[in-house]
Amino acid sequence: MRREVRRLPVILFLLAAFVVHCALAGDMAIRGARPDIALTSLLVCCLFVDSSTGAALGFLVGLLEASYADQFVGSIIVSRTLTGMLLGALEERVFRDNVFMAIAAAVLGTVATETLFFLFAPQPHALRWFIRTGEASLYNGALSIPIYLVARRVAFRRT
Amino acid sequence: MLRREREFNRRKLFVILLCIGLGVGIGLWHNRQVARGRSDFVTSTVRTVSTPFVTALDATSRWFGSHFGWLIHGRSLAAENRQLRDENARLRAENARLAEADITSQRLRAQLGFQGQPPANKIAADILSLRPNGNFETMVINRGARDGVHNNSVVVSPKGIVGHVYGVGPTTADVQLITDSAAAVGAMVQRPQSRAQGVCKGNGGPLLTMAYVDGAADVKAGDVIISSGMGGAAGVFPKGLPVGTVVRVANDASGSTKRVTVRPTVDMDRLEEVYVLP
Repeated sequence: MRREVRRLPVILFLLAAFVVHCALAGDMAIRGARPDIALTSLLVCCLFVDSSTGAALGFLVGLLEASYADQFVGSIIVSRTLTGMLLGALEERVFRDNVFMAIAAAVLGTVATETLFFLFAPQPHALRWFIRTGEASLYNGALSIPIYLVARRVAFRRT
Repeated sequence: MLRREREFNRRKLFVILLCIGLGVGIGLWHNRQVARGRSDFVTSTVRTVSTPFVTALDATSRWFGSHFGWLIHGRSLAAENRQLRDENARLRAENARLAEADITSQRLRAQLGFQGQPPANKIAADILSLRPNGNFETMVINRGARDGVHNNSVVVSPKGIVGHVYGVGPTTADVQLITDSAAAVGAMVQRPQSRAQGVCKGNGGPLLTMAYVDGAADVKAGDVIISSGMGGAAGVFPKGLPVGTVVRVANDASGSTKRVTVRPTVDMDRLEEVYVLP
Protein backbone atom coordinates (compact mmCIF):
# COMPACT_ATOMS: atom_id res chain seq x y z
CA MET A 1 0.00 0.00 0.00
CA ARG A 2 1.34 3.45 -0.81
CA ARG A 3 0.09 6.96 -0.43
CA GLU A 4 -0.86 9.14 -3.33
CA VAL A 5 -0.47 12.82 -2.63
CA ARG A 6 -3.46 14.98 -3.54
CA ARG A 7 -1.82 18.33 -4.20
CA LEU A 8 -4.83 20.62 -4.14
CA PRO A 9 -6.04 19.42 -0.70
CA VAL A 10 -2.45 19.77 0.58
CA ILE A 11 -2.34 23.39 -0.60
CA LEU A 12 -5.80 24.11 0.84
CA PHE A 13 -4.75 22.44 4.10
CA LEU A 14 -1.67 24.68 4.33
CA LEU A 15 -3.74 27.78 3.51
CA ALA A 16 -6.22 26.84 6.24
CA ALA A 17 -3.34 26.21 8.66
CA PHE A 18 -1.96 29.64 7.90
CA VAL A 19 -5.32 31.33 8.54
CA VAL A 20 -5.65 29.44 11.84
CA HIS A 21 -2.09 30.44 12.72
CA CYS A 22 -2.74 34.14 12.07
CA ALA A 23 -6.01 34.23 13.95
CA LEU A 24 -5.28 31.98 16.91
CA ALA A 25 -1.54 31.43 17.47
CA GLY A 26 -1.25 34.63 19.50
CA ASP A 27 -3.86 33.30 21.95
CA MET A 28 -2.16 29.92 22.22
CA ALA A 29 0.99 31.18 23.94
CA ILE A 30 2.00 29.15 26.99
CA ARG A 31 4.46 30.93 29.28
CA GLY A 32 5.79 32.94 26.37
CA ALA A 33 6.19 29.93 24.05
CA ARG A 34 4.26 30.38 20.83
CA PRO A 35 3.50 27.79 18.19
CA ASP A 36 3.95 28.22 14.45
CA ILE A 37 0.96 26.30 13.14
CA ALA A 38 1.68 27.09 9.49
CA LEU A 39 5.31 25.94 9.74
CA THR A 40 4.35 22.77 11.64
CA SER A 41 1.74 21.92 9.00
CA LEU A 42 4.33 22.47 6.28
CA LEU A 43 6.86 20.21 8.01
CA VAL A 44 4.29 17.45 8.49
CA CYS A 45 3.07 17.66 4.88
CA CYS A 46 6.62 17.64 3.54
CA LEU A 47 7.08 14.18 5.06
CA PHE A 48 4.83 12.80 2.36
CA VAL A 49 6.11 14.58 -0.73
CA ASP A 50 9.30 14.68 -2.79
CA SER A 51 11.95 17.38 -2.55
CA SER A 52 10.64 19.61 -5.34
CA THR A 53 7.06 19.53 -4.05
CA GLY A 54 8.44 20.15 -0.54
CA ALA A 55 10.29 23.20 -1.87
CA ALA A 56 7.16 24.47 -3.62
CA LEU A 57 5.04 24.02 -0.46
CA GLY A 58 7.79 25.71 1.57
CA PHE A 59 7.74 28.61 -0.88
CA LEU A 60 3.96 28.91 -0.49
CA VAL A 61 4.05 28.93 3.33
CA GLY A 62 7.09 31.24 3.31
CA LEU A 63 5.28 33.71 1.06
CA LEU A 64 2.20 33.64 3.29
CA GLU A 65 4.21 34.13 6.48
CA ALA A 66 6.40 36.81 4.91
CA SER A 67 3.36 38.76 3.74
CA TYR A 68 2.23 39.11 7.36
CA ALA A 69 5.70 39.72 8.79
CA ASP A 70 6.43 42.35 6.10
CA GLN A 71 10.14 42.31 6.94
CA PHE A 72 12.99 39.92 6.03
CA VAL A 73 10.66 38.68 3.29
CA GLY A 74 13.31 36.88 1.21
CA SER A 75 14.89 35.22 4.24
CA ILE A 76 11.55 33.90 5.47
CA ILE A 77 10.60 32.49 2.05
CA VAL A 78 13.99 30.90 1.31
CA SER A 79 14.36 29.36 4.80
CA ARG A 80 10.93 27.66 4.46
CA THR A 81 11.70 26.60 0.88
CA LEU A 82 14.98 24.97 1.89
CA THR A 83 13.47 23.19 4.89
CA GLY A 84 10.60 21.91 2.74
CA MET A 85 13.11 20.65 0.20
CA LEU A 86 15.25 18.95 2.89
CA LEU A 87 12.27 17.18 4.44
CA GLY A 88 10.98 16.22 1.01
CA ALA A 89 14.40 14.74 0.23
CA LEU A 90 13.83 12.23 3.03
CA GLU A 91 11.36 10.55 0.70
CA GLU A 92 12.09 6.81 0.45
CA ARG A 93 14.92 7.18 2.95
CA VAL A 94 12.92 6.94 6.15
CA PHE A 95 9.67 5.31 7.18
CA ARG A 96 7.39 8.32 7.38
CA ASP A 97 3.98 6.86 8.07
CA ASN A 98 4.51 7.27 11.77
CA VAL A 99 3.44 9.96 14.19
CA PHE A 100 6.87 9.92 15.86
CA MET A 101 8.46 10.93 12.57
CA ALA A 102 6.03 13.86 12.44
CA ILE A 103 7.10 14.95 15.94
CA ALA A 104 10.79 14.64 15.03
CA ALA A 105 10.22 16.50 11.77
CA ALA A 106 8.39 19.32 13.55
CA VAL A 107 11.03 19.73 16.28
CA LEU A 108 14.11 19.42 14.06
CA GLY A 109 12.45 21.19 11.12
CA THR A 110 11.62 24.21 13.30
CA VAL A 111 15.21 24.37 14.54
CA ALA A 112 16.53 24.00 10.97
CA THR A 113 14.17 26.68 9.62
CA GLU A 114 15.00 29.18 12.34
CA THR A 115 18.72 28.48 12.08
CA LEU A 116 18.61 29.05 8.32
CA PHE A 117 16.64 32.23 8.88
CA PHE A 118 19.15 33.39 11.47
CA LEU A 119 22.00 32.75 9.04
CA PHE A 120 20.26 34.77 6.31
CA ALA A 121 19.14 37.57 8.61
CA PRO A 122 21.12 37.68 11.88
CA GLN A 123 19.04 39.18 14.67
CA PRO A 124 20.03 41.07 17.81
CA HIS A 125 19.69 39.29 21.17
CA ALA A 126 20.83 35.94 19.78
CA LEU A 127 20.43 34.10 23.10
CA ARG A 128 16.77 35.09 23.43
CA TRP A 129 16.32 34.14 19.78
CA PHE A 130 17.60 30.62 20.38
CA ILE A 131 15.59 30.20 23.59
CA ARG A 132 12.48 31.21 21.68
CA THR A 133 13.34 28.81 18.87
CA GLY A 134 13.76 26.00 21.41
CA GLU A 135 10.38 26.76 22.99
CA ALA A 136 8.68 27.02 19.62
CA SER A 137 10.21 23.75 18.41
CA LEU A 138 8.90 21.87 21.47
CA TYR A 139 5.47 23.45 21.11
CA ASN A 140 5.43 22.64 17.39
CA GLY A 141 6.47 19.09 18.22
CA ALA A 142 3.45 18.66 20.48
CA LEU A 143 1.21 20.33 17.92
CA SER A 144 2.44 18.07 15.14
CA ILE A 145 0.47 15.11 16.53
CA PRO A 146 -3.05 16.48 15.84
CA ILE A 147 -1.81 18.15 12.64
CA TYR A 148 -0.36 14.86 11.43
CA LEU A 149 -3.63 13.04 12.12
CA VAL A 150 -5.66 15.67 10.26
CA ALA A 151 -3.18 16.02 7.38
CA ARG A 152 -3.08 12.28 6.84
CA ARG A 153 -6.86 12.13 6.44
CA VAL A 154 -7.34 15.31 4.46
CA ALA A 155 -4.46 15.35 2.07
CA PHE A 156 -3.43 11.81 1.32
CA ARG A 157 -5.21 8.93 -0.32
CA ARG A 158 -4.20 5.32 0.18
CA THR A 159 -3.97 3.46 -3.13
CA MET B 1 14.74 4.31 -18.03
CA LEU B 2 17.93 5.98 -16.82
CA ARG B 3 17.32 8.89 -19.18
CA ARG B 4 13.81 9.36 -17.92
CA GLU B 5 15.06 9.32 -14.32
CA ARG B 6 17.71 11.87 -15.16
CA GLU B 7 15.11 14.12 -16.78
CA PHE B 8 12.88 13.71 -13.71
CA ASN B 9 15.74 14.76 -11.42
CA ARG B 10 16.50 17.71 -13.68
CA ARG B 11 12.88 18.82 -13.45
CA LYS B 12 13.00 18.53 -9.66
CA LEU B 13 16.16 20.61 -9.54
CA PHE B 14 14.55 23.22 -11.78
CA VAL B 15 11.52 23.54 -9.48
CA ILE B 16 13.74 23.85 -6.38
CA LEU B 17 15.97 26.49 -7.95
CA LEU B 18 12.92 28.34 -9.26
CA CYS B 19 11.38 28.48 -5.77
CA ILE B 20 14.64 29.70 -4.22
CA GLY B 21 15.17 32.22 -7.02
CA LEU B 22 11.61 33.52 -6.68
CA GLY B 23 12.06 33.81 -2.91
CA VAL B 24 15.25 35.84 -3.30
CA GLY B 25 13.66 37.93 -6.07
CA ILE B 26 10.54 38.74 -4.03
CA GLY B 27 12.72 39.62 -1.04
CA LEU B 28 14.87 42.02 -3.08
CA TRP B 29 11.80 43.55 -4.73
CA HIS B 30 10.17 44.02 -1.32
CA ASN B 31 13.26 45.78 0.08
CA ARG B 32 13.44 48.04 -2.96
CA GLN B 33 9.78 49.01 -2.68
CA VAL B 34 10.06 49.65 1.05
CA ALA B 35 13.13 51.85 0.45
CA ARG B 36 11.04 53.87 -2.00
CA GLY B 37 8.24 54.17 0.54
CA ARG B 38 5.86 52.05 -1.53
CA SER B 39 4.02 48.89 -0.60
CA ASP B 40 5.16 45.67 -2.22
CA PHE B 41 2.57 44.39 -4.69
CA VAL B 42 3.21 40.67 -4.12
CA THR B 43 3.03 40.52 -0.32
CA SER B 44 0.25 43.11 -0.07
CA THR B 45 -1.86 41.13 -2.56
CA VAL B 46 -1.32 37.91 -0.60
CA ARG B 47 -2.34 39.71 2.57
CA THR B 48 -5.36 41.42 1.03
CA VAL B 49 -6.65 38.07 -0.21
CA SER B 50 -6.09 36.25 3.09
CA THR B 51 -7.27 39.04 5.42
CA PRO B 52 -11.05 38.32 5.16
CA PHE B 53 -10.49 34.68 6.16
CA VAL B 54 -8.27 35.65 9.10
CA THR B 55 -10.78 38.32 10.18
CA ALA B 56 -13.67 35.85 10.02
CA LEU B 57 -11.86 33.22 12.09
CA ASP B 58 -10.64 35.82 14.57
CA ALA B 59 -14.19 37.18 14.97
CA THR B 60 -15.55 33.65 15.46
CA SER B 61 -12.92 32.88 18.08
CA ARG B 62 -13.67 36.17 19.88
CA TRP B 63 -17.40 35.40 19.82
CA PHE B 64 -16.78 32.01 21.42
CA GLY B 65 -14.37 33.59 23.89
CA SER B 66 -16.88 36.26 24.93
CA HIS B 67 -19.80 33.82 25.19
CA PHE B 68 -18.15 30.75 26.64
CA GLY B 69 -14.90 32.12 28.11
CA TRP B 70 -16.55 32.23 31.55
CA LEU B 71 -16.61 28.43 31.51
CA ILE B 72 -12.82 28.49 31.73
CA HIS B 73 -12.16 31.78 33.50
CA GLY B 74 -15.21 31.89 35.83
CA ARG B 75 -13.43 32.21 39.20
CA SER B 76 -10.67 34.49 38.04
CA LEU B 77 -13.24 36.73 36.32
CA ALA B 78 -15.11 37.32 39.60
CA ALA B 79 -11.86 38.33 41.35
CA GLU B 80 -10.85 40.50 38.40
CA ASN B 81 -14.29 42.14 38.44
CA ARG B 82 -13.90 43.06 42.13
CA GLN B 83 -10.43 44.43 41.50
CA LEU B 84 -11.65 46.48 38.53
CA ARG B 85 -14.51 47.99 40.57
CA ASP B 86 -12.01 49.16 43.20
CA GLU B 87 -9.70 50.50 40.53
CA ASN B 88 -12.62 52.24 38.80
CA ALA B 89 -13.59 54.05 42.01
CA ARG B 90 -10.00 55.15 42.57
CA LEU B 91 -9.60 56.30 38.96
CA ARG B 92 -12.84 58.31 39.07
CA ALA B 93 -11.52 60.27 42.00
CA GLU B 94 -8.16 60.74 40.30
CA ASN B 95 -9.85 61.77 37.06
CA ALA B 96 -11.76 64.54 38.79
CA ARG B 97 -8.53 65.83 40.33
CA LEU B 98 -6.67 65.65 36.98
CA ALA B 99 -9.51 67.40 35.11
CA GLU B 100 -9.15 70.30 37.49
CA ALA B 101 -5.35 70.27 37.04
CA ASP B 102 -5.79 70.20 33.26
CA ILE B 103 -8.00 73.28 33.31
CA THR B 104 -5.42 75.12 35.39
CA SER B 105 -2.60 73.93 33.12
CA GLN B 106 -4.41 75.09 29.97
CA ARG B 107 -5.13 78.47 31.52
CA LEU B 108 -1.46 78.94 32.49
CA ARG B 109 -0.20 77.73 29.09
CA ALA B 110 -2.52 80.20 27.37
CA GLN B 111 -1.18 83.00 29.56
CA LEU B 112 2.42 82.01 28.70
CA GLY B 113 1.68 81.80 24.97
CA PHE B 114 2.24 78.02 24.55
CA GLN B 115 0.43 76.30 21.72
CA GLY B 116 -2.13 73.75 22.84
CA GLN B 117 -1.57 70.06 22.12
CA PRO B 118 -3.32 68.88 18.93
CA PRO B 119 -6.52 66.94 19.62
CA ALA B 120 -5.94 63.19 19.76
CA ASN B 121 -7.81 61.79 16.77
CA LYS B 122 -7.89 58.07 17.47
CA ILE B 123 -8.70 55.34 14.99
CA ALA B 124 -9.96 52.18 16.70
CA ALA B 125 -8.48 49.01 15.23
CA ASP B 126 -8.86 45.28 15.80
CA ILE B 127 -5.85 43.00 15.88
CA LEU B 128 -5.89 40.68 12.89
CA SER B 129 -2.86 38.72 13.92
CA LEU B 130 -0.64 39.02 16.96
CA ARG B 131 2.95 37.97 16.26
CA PRO B 132 2.24 36.30 12.88
CA ASN B 133 5.90 35.38 12.84
CA GLY B 134 6.89 34.14 16.29
CA ASN B 135 10.36 35.61 15.96
CA PHE B 136 9.24 39.22 15.85
CA GLU B 137 7.17 41.24 18.28
CA THR B 138 4.80 42.54 15.63
CA MET B 139 1.12 42.47 14.86
CA VAL B 140 -1.24 43.21 12.01
CA ILE B 141 -4.25 45.50 12.50
CA ASN B 142 -7.36 45.91 10.36
CA ARG B 143 -6.80 49.57 9.51
CA GLY B 144 -4.65 50.84 6.67
CA ALA B 145 -3.95 53.74 4.35
CA ARG B 146 -7.66 54.04 3.47
CA ASP B 147 -8.41 54.79 7.13
CA GLY B 148 -5.68 57.41 7.44
CA VAL B 149 -2.98 55.20 8.94
CA HIS B 150 0.54 55.88 7.72
CA ASN B 151 4.10 54.85 8.48
CA ASN B 152 5.22 55.81 12.02
CA SER B 153 1.63 56.26 13.23
CA VAL B 154 1.61 55.58 16.97
CA VAL B 155 -0.46 52.67 18.26
CA VAL B 156 -1.75 52.78 21.83
CA SER B 157 -4.15 50.92 24.07
CA PRO B 158 -6.07 52.45 26.98
CA LYS B 159 -3.15 51.42 29.21
CA GLY B 160 -0.29 52.95 27.22
CA ILE B 161 2.03 52.66 24.23
CA VAL B 162 1.76 49.52 22.13
CA GLY B 163 4.10 50.36 19.23
CA HIS B 164 4.28 52.12 15.91
CA VAL B 165 3.28 51.36 12.34
CA TYR B 166 6.13 50.29 10.07
CA GLY B 167 4.23 49.04 7.03
CA VAL B 168 0.89 50.10 5.57
CA GLY B 169 -1.37 48.34 3.10
CA PRO B 170 -4.72 49.62 1.84
CA THR B 171 -6.74 47.91 4.58
CA THR B 172 -4.13 46.62 7.02
CA ALA B 173 -1.04 47.89 8.78
CA ASP B 174 1.99 46.26 10.42
CA VAL B 175 2.77 47.36 13.93
CA GLN B 176 6.13 46.92 15.63
CA LEU B 177 5.48 46.38 19.35
CA ILE B 178 7.73 48.25 21.80
CA THR B 179 8.94 44.84 23.03
CA ASP B 180 10.49 44.01 19.64
CA SER B 181 14.27 43.80 19.66
CA ALA B 182 14.48 46.58 17.05
CA ALA B 183 12.08 48.93 18.85
CA ALA B 184 13.06 51.97 20.93
CA VAL B 185 11.08 54.69 22.69
CA GLY B 186 12.46 57.95 24.04
CA ALA B 187 11.40 57.74 27.68
CA MET B 188 11.55 59.53 31.01
CA VAL B 189 10.62 58.98 34.63
CA GLN B 190 7.26 60.60 35.37
CA ARG B 191 8.06 61.44 39.03
CA PRO B 192 8.57 65.22 39.23
CA GLN B 193 11.60 64.86 41.52
CA SER B 194 13.42 62.68 38.97
CA ARG B 195 12.44 63.29 35.29
CA ALA B 196 15.49 61.15 34.35
CA GLN B 197 15.62 60.47 30.61
CA GLY B 198 16.72 57.49 28.56
CA VAL B 199 15.67 55.20 25.75
CA CYS B 200 13.44 52.16 26.39
CA LYS B 201 14.51 49.31 24.13
CA GLY B 202 12.77 46.01 23.54
CA ASN B 203 14.66 42.73 23.48
CA GLY B 204 12.05 40.32 22.19
CA GLY B 205 11.00 39.39 25.73
CA PRO B 206 8.26 40.71 28.00
CA LEU B 207 10.45 43.41 29.61
CA LEU B 208 12.13 46.56 28.28
CA THR B 209 15.56 47.95 29.07
CA MET B 210 15.88 51.68 29.63
CA ALA B 211 19.36 52.62 28.44
CA TYR B 212 21.42 55.83 28.49
CA VAL B 213 20.15 56.79 31.94
CA ASP B 214 22.63 59.00 33.79
CA GLY B 215 24.46 57.17 36.60
CA ALA B 216 23.50 59.87 39.09
CA ALA B 217 19.82 59.91 38.06
CA ASP B 218 17.18 59.25 40.71
CA VAL B 219 15.35 56.15 39.49
CA LYS B 220 13.64 53.66 41.80
CA ALA B 221 11.67 50.45 41.37
CA GLY B 222 7.99 51.34 40.98
CA ASP B 223 8.65 54.59 39.09
CA VAL B 224 6.31 55.16 36.16
CA ILE B 225 8.01 55.63 32.79
CA ILE B 226 6.38 57.79 30.12
CA SER B 227 7.43 58.68 26.59
CA SER B 228 9.65 61.78 26.40
CA GLY B 229 8.87 62.66 22.79
CA MET B 230 12.61 62.81 22.12
CA GLY B 231 14.96 60.81 19.92
CA GLY B 232 15.34 59.91 16.24
CA ALA B 233 13.21 56.98 15.20
CA ALA B 234 12.00 56.84 18.79
CA GLY B 235 10.68 60.38 18.39
CA VAL B 236 7.55 59.11 16.63
CA PHE B 237 5.97 58.75 20.09
CA PRO B 238 4.45 61.94 21.48
CA LYS B 239 5.37 63.00 24.99
CA GLY B 240 3.47 61.75 28.01
CA LEU B 241 2.19 58.32 26.97
CA PRO B 242 2.63 55.60 29.62
CA VAL B 243 5.40 53.15 28.70
CA GLY B 244 5.88 51.01 31.80
CA THR B 245 6.94 50.65 35.42
CA VAL B 246 10.48 50.24 36.70
CA VAL B 247 11.08 46.78 38.13
CA ARG B 248 14.87 46.82 38.60
CA VAL B 249 17.69 49.37 38.61
CA ALA B 250 21.38 48.52 38.32
CA ASN B 251 24.52 50.57 37.76
CA ASP B 252 26.81 49.51 34.93
CA ALA B 253 30.42 48.52 35.65
CA SER B 254 31.80 52.05 35.24
CA GLY B 255 28.95 53.62 37.23
CA SER B 256 28.43 56.28 34.54
CA THR B 257 25.04 54.99 33.45
CA LYS B 258 22.18 53.06 34.98
CA ARG B 259 20.55 50.02 33.49
CA VAL B 260 16.83 50.15 34.21
CA THR B 261 14.48 47.23 33.60
CA VAL B 262 10.92 48.25 32.79
CA ARG B 263 7.72 46.23 32.64
CA PRO B 264 5.43 47.63 29.91
CA THR B 265 2.06 48.89 31.13
CA VAL B 266 0.43 47.06 28.23
CA ASP B 267 0.33 43.28 28.44
CA MET B 268 1.02 42.44 24.80
CA ASP B 269 -0.33 38.91 25.19
CA ARG B 270 -3.75 40.24 26.22
CA LEU B 271 -4.19 42.93 23.62
CA GLU B 272 -7.63 42.92 22.04
CA GLU B 273 -8.15 46.31 20.46
CA VAL B 274 -5.88 49.24 19.92
CA TYR B 275 -6.05 52.85 18.79
CA VAL B 276 -3.96 54.43 16.08
CA LEU B 277 -2.90 58.07 16.44
CA PRO B 278 -2.52 59.09 12.79
